[in-house]
Amino acid sequence: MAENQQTFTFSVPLDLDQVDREEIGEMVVEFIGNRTRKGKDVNNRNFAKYSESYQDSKDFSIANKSSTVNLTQTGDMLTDIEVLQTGITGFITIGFQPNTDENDRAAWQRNNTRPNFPKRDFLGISQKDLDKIVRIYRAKVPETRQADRATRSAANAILNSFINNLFNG
Amino acid sequence: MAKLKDFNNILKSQLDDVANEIKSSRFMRQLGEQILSDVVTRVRLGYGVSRDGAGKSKFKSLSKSYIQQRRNKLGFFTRPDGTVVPISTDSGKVSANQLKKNRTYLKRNSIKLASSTSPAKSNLTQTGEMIRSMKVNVKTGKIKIVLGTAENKKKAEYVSKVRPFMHLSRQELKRARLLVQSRLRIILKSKINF
Repeated sequence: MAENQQTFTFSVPLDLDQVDREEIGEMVVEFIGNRTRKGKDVNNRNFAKYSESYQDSKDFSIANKSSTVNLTQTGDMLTDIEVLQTGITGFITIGFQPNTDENDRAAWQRNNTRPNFPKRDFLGISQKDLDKIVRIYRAKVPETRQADRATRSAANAILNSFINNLFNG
Repeated sequence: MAKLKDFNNILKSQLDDVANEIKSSRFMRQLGEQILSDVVTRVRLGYGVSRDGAGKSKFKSLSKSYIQQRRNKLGFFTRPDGTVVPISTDSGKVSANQLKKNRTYLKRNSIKLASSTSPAKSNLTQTGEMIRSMKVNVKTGKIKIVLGTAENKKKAEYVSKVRPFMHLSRQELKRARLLVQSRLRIILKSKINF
């Protein structure tokens, strides 16, 4: 069954324009991925432990997991978090595209709606961490922001030229 | 504003240089290894991808008889005339004497599964040789993932018909792009002071 779309909306200073909000949104998405991979939830607390049966499973050893709960097996769920909306002044929404497997997985982790899934909320950020990101963003000179945008658009073209016909050689 | 415009021109001229520099075989190998590691983990967990950029999906389940074979409870013996005879340890179907013979035959010809699979797990793994043989090959600005031997290549093509796996998922492509992006930024930063 498809779960409700998993999103998180937070407020940012009103003087930031849509491009700024887009960039800050990306920084928050990256921050959430890194924090979760370190085993910390939205409040920077450790996640609930994995069940013993999961720790004894083949999947656990295939994914080379440790006892640190980091919600990462293939890494696809954390990779799928994206900036969803920046069009409203003062607000940014991040989260998952609806009706995707990763959205369902995120819902199971966040909402405790399935047996054997204790609540592990990872989609969000504390005000303190958000303030820090906004400060870092404001400290960036326009050149840095421009270079960041240029690398983002160049990366796709370069990657495509590298992996064209990846499996046929 | 003039400063930013100048920077724009510098950025444009440097990006081509950077694109060439990033083609260093060391970085391309690192990128290829990350992609391969993603593909191998996905396949061993039992997921395929039907086309580049699609989401991953669970491989089709193994047939009941193949699961029995992987449990070493069913095997097949080919007679000189070409007839294939099933060898089963299902006690309801054969005499006690035959059952003993069958067990001995299956023990002698047992399938030894790799530690990364189990009898009912559909993850393209029996001995694990095909997946292990996948390697990164970097040549003339291209990354290739190749299968070690002609036999493994043939095997991969055959299994791909029902359980496609030789594509990159949306998330695998994104992770690869993020690695390229962070490398680009490092090189660009070393060339332009920003």
